[in-house]
Amino acid sequence: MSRPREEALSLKGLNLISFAVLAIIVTFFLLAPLFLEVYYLSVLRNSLLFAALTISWFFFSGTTKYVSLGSAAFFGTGLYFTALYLEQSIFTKHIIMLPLPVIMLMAGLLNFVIAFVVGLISLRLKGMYFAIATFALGEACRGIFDYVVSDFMGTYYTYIPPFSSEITYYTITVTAFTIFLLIFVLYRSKLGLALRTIGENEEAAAHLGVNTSLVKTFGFAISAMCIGFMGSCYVTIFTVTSPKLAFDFQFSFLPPMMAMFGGLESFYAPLVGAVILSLLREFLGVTLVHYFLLTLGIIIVLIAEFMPEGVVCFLKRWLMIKF
Amino acid sequence: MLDIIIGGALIGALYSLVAVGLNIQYGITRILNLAYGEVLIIGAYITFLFFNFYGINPLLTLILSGLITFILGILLQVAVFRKLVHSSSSALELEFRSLFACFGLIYIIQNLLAHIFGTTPIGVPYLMEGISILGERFRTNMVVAAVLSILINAVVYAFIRFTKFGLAMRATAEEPLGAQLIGIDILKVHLVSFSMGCLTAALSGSMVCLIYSNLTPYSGTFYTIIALIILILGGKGNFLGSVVGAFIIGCSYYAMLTFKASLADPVIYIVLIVMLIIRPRGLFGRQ
Amino acid sequence: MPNLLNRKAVSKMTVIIIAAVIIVASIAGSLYYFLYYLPAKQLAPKDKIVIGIVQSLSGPLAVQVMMWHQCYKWIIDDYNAKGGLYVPEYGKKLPITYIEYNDESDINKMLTLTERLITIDKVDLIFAPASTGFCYAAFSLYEKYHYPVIALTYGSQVGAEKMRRGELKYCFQTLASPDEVGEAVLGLLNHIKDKCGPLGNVGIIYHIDQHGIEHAAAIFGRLSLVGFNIAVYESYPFMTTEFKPLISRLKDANVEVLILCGYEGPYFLRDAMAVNYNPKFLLLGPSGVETPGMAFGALGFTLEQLKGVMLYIGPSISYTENDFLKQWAEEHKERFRPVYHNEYGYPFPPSATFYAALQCLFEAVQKVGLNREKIAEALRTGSFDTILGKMRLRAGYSPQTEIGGGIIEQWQNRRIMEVIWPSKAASADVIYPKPPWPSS
Repeated sequence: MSRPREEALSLKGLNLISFAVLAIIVTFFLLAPLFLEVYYLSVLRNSLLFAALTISWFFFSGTTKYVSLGSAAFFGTGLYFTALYLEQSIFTKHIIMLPLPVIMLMAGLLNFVIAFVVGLISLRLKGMYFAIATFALGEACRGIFDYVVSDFMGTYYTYIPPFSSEITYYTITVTAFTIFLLIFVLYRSKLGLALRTIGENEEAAAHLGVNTSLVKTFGFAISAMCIGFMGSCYVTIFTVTSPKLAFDFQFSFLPPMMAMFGGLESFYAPLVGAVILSLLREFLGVTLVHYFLLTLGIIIVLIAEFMPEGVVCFLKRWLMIKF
Repeated sequence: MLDIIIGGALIGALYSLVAVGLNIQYGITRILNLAYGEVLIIGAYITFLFFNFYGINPLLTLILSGLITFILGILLQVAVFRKLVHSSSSALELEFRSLFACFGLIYIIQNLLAHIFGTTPIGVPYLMEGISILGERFRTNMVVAAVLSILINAVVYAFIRFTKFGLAMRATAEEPLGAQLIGIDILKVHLVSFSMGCLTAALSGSMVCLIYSNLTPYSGTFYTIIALIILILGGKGNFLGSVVGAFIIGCSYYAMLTFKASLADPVIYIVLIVMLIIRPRGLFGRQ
Repeated sequence: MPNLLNRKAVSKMTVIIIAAVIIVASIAGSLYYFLYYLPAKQLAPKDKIVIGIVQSLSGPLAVQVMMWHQCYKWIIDDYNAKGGLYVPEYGKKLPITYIEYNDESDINKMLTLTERLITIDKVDLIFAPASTGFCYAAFSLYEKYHYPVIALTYGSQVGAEKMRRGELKYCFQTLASPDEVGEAVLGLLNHIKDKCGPLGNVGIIYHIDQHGIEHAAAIFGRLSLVGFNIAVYESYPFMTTEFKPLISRLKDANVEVLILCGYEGPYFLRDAMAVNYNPKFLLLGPSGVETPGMAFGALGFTLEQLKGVMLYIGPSISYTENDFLKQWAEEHKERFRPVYHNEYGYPFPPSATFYAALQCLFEAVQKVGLNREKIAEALRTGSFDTILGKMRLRAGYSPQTEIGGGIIEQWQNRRIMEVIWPSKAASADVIYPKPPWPSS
């Protein structure tokens, strides 16, 4: 099955048009609060959030084909770490207060370390086993936090100081774009190439001299770190969180679903797919209030059947043939 | 101590029936059916429907739910999965695509059930009285469910082990290409295996409906998770493995409830993680 | 497989033109929408009142919505049947319509959709979502946009404390806070002690969720201070269905007074019956056991089995206080026949209080109009005519009503629970000890 090689392997692959389009999009997002209502800002912010989660998931799982269903573990850890830190520093004043970006960095680093350790242990597993192992990790995290929260903290909910909606919007937008840039650069780097090679044929990659365990673990850890960053800035949306809310299973299955919706063949496909699916969910949710999930399910099954390579890749191929 | 073993065994017996269907589906057709729990809940709703509105004896509704979901399994295979299998060029790709399709199926089934039956929890309260086993008291319906699960498991095992078609199923599971070469109709084997998996799922779902009264259209994901955990714990494709794995899960949960109830929820996942670390292929699995 | 060698090269000009067309079209479309369409919609004369409802119509919380939020649609229908809601600034009654969104039990979605209701749909009033956590998260939005909202299912101490301190000015609760429940339990146990002599060991078990943790702490705090012996104080997994191990422990500790803070009442009852564990005092949390349609329907209990079982949830009434409420209960039964699929659909204990609380909101509108600041002020300070007589919302406490205000109920002899405590709201005295489980 032949596929055109999508990327040149260096930054020179960007041409002028893509750059211009990108500049327009980024400017739009950054200036949106000036002319859009709060609700539309929330919709944009949510779609960026899921896009960032999806591209982080894709960076490891889409390239190496090791499906991770444990994004919720890292998302929740980032979220909880930040929430607890904010609570302890603002409400109970046990520790010094730090600016949010610093806390977010700490949360990301924590996730990196955890994922590195988890990766060293679990990346020997193949295929479905890895998927289930990561899923079990997510649920185990939730259960353990449940235990810690009930036996040691005396309250199930952790309360978070409120943030203004501008700060929320900019925190999430800026973090998301930073993650896009980071993943873009890494994807086109040697690490990204190594990950993709592992995805094509792991044994061949090993023969080529790639240190597969180290590369996989590193890729997994970076992916988890970025997911942790997003979890961390998710904190700005709510005034309350709990293990059930932080480690919700939707953060484990939505990134893979959105990535597969868009397609797994290039960097842009899952990204655009995630934004489209996010907006679609929102749009269907308010127009078809009672039947929207059913409709969404039917759409997904149809796409799985007729556009298995993903909507974005399918459209690209279709457009290329037409022109 | 005794009540942990018996209680765990009762739960484990039911869970082993839950797992056996997924084992058959994944082992033979290589489709990772994440919508498995949803089929299980369909079975529960069928029992509820026939008991509540037509007054049929709950145990007889098992036959109905099995039949209906068998046909449903055939429909799903033909409508959804067959095309996926044809268009995928490798087992890995098939897993990816079936994962995606199953996400959609989950949404469809959950919301169809919610539209038809509403989201109020359902249950069929049947045989709720206590019964004594070796001095410990348990609910009668749990005992009945456990016994039935073991019986059904035995029938399925016998079918796979001793019939000609069962031989064909085992051959397809081990070596799909080779099986085709010697003339086994893979399509028929896939069809029957998948539907058989759906049938056992529905039977266990019906029994779950009799025991617990908290089923909603969204309860299916829990059982998918249980089935997956037991599948891996016991070893993919291994019958005895899933029975032993189910027993381990049942007993761990029960034991944790006895000693430290606040850790009972994560213990299942921790057991799985530990197993994956020390012996990734499961208790009886072959690599 | 398409032959890729035959495709024409896409000229750069074509792409630029297509991109430019798309961008210009999007900008033009958006400008039209924001500058012409939306303002036109808003300038239309007001001919109806719009209520925004965001609740979980699917997902795990849909159960709570199904059981507890039926009154939303019911009260709208009732007022519309009488011509609508009277609005002073228009001098006439306007019909009530609603916009409903499904948050799929996702808190982020709930917040986004609430923002939509407030900023895009610009609804007049908002009905709260289900569940304590969701309500608390939504409170910050209500405070920000000054929307007075009466939360029906919010029952946490933290928000109640904030309301008492005046930090939440637009949010009102209806349920009794954990400390009110704790007081009631203490009062009831003392009453039983005076009537029947000293009580045995106490066991408090609670689920791992905010409700369980807070209520258990409130009850434990008060009971231990006055010398009750609390032999077991344990948590268990949220929504677990296996209680046999925990019951063995309770039996071993000779627990005669059992308090279960959680939503797992039915599962506990089943296992307790099967294992024949029969505490003299059994108090459960809200779980469906208090809703006749569920208790005698899906849960399949009989009145003999439930006799003596108590529940804490308030403020409650027993629907025998006057003829109107008796009639209301019968209407409820007919109305909810299709919901519960049986003929036991009588109201659950606080059902009338929920209805009355929403009535306060509507009566406030009828008194001061649709200005939300004035409505909030009226709700904070005024009292309103409701089906429970004059009702006054109290910041951080359950509302004060002429009729009702019960917090602990018990299944006795009829298919609606009797309120047994506080005594001023009680319709019957407590049955103690609980009769043994009926055999078979």
